[in-house]
Amino acid sequence: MSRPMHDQDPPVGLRAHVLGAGALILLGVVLFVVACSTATGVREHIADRYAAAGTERVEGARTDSLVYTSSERPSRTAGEISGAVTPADRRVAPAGVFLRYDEDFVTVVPRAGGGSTIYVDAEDAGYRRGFVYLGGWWGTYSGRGESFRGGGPGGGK
Amino acid sequence: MSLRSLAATVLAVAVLAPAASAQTPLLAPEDAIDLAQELADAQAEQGVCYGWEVKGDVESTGSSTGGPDVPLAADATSCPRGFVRFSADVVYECSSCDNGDQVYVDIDASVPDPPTMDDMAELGYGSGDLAGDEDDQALIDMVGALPLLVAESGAAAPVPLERTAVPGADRPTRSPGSDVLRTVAPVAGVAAVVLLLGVGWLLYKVGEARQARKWRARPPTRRERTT
Repeated sequence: MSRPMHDQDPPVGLRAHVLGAGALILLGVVLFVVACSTATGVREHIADRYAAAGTERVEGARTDSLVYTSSERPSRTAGEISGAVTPADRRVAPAGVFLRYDEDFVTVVPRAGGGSTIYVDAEDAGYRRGFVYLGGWWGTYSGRGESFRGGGPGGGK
Repeated sequence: MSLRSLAATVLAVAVLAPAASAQTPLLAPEDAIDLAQELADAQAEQGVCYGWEVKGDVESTGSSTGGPDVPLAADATSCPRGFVRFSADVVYECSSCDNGDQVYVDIDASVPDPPTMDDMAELGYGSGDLAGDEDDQALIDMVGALPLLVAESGAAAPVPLERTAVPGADRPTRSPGSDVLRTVAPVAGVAAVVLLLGVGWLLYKVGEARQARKWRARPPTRRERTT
């Protein structure tokens, strides 16, 4: 005599499924926590990686800015910084590269003699430093609407 | 083809042709002025002339020598150290074809060790950005990068950071959000998928077990009783 059908498929293996699903959930949580705990802010990253060169105060700014130097050219230096800590926005101008972070602006410009100079500014100071290039992009800008005035004769200084 | 349908086709082509060939300006006029002025300032500093020309479904032209809408005219007097011209051809995906947007970029230059698209990639830009949502910013940044890249190669002096007093009312806007979350977003995305898979798996199996328990708890059918 065969057993009734409902006795033939008991919930065997549910425990294994629960353990498997629990492991996946745990893995997801661990991945997220590890990613968040190992991520550094842009200030910490730059301080760890580049040579400190003092501070300076942008005219009209409320706080001092940190200055660092890099032996690499600006495009490579800016690429390294933005690769390590993703910026919210970036601007590239003839004078240098600007990276925008939550509370900081990072400006990378060529340094006399090679390499780069990196300025780490609080928002207000960074906007003042790069206003000519950032005005209207990352903030309000009341000085727009000029006509093209040319650049004078090519000096090639 | 009948005479009537031929006439309709000719009429349709005549009506649609001007619209199809019309090109959209890639840059707002004030942005084109700003970009041309930045390049003109760089030209004065470096002795290198710069220009850009975008064709295809969008268009934009300008130069350090003539301003917006004026193609680069490089001569030895204005450009003693040479010139760099950024050209792009942008063709958007058509609704009836399989190809995606097509963007061809060329950097034509007479300076030694001229800028390349690899340099642009280091700055975070590729040719595809010229067909993206922020195509205007991509063009401004890629063209604006030319004097910086020329200075990096040693072909000309760096352009100094221009500073000006900030009007009292002007200030940075929009908080861009957490740097940590932005940086870990790719890993967080994977973590979220793994976590959701686990939750989904758990819910599915628990639901299945509940169903099975309910099924076992029901009274046996007549057939089951007789077997």
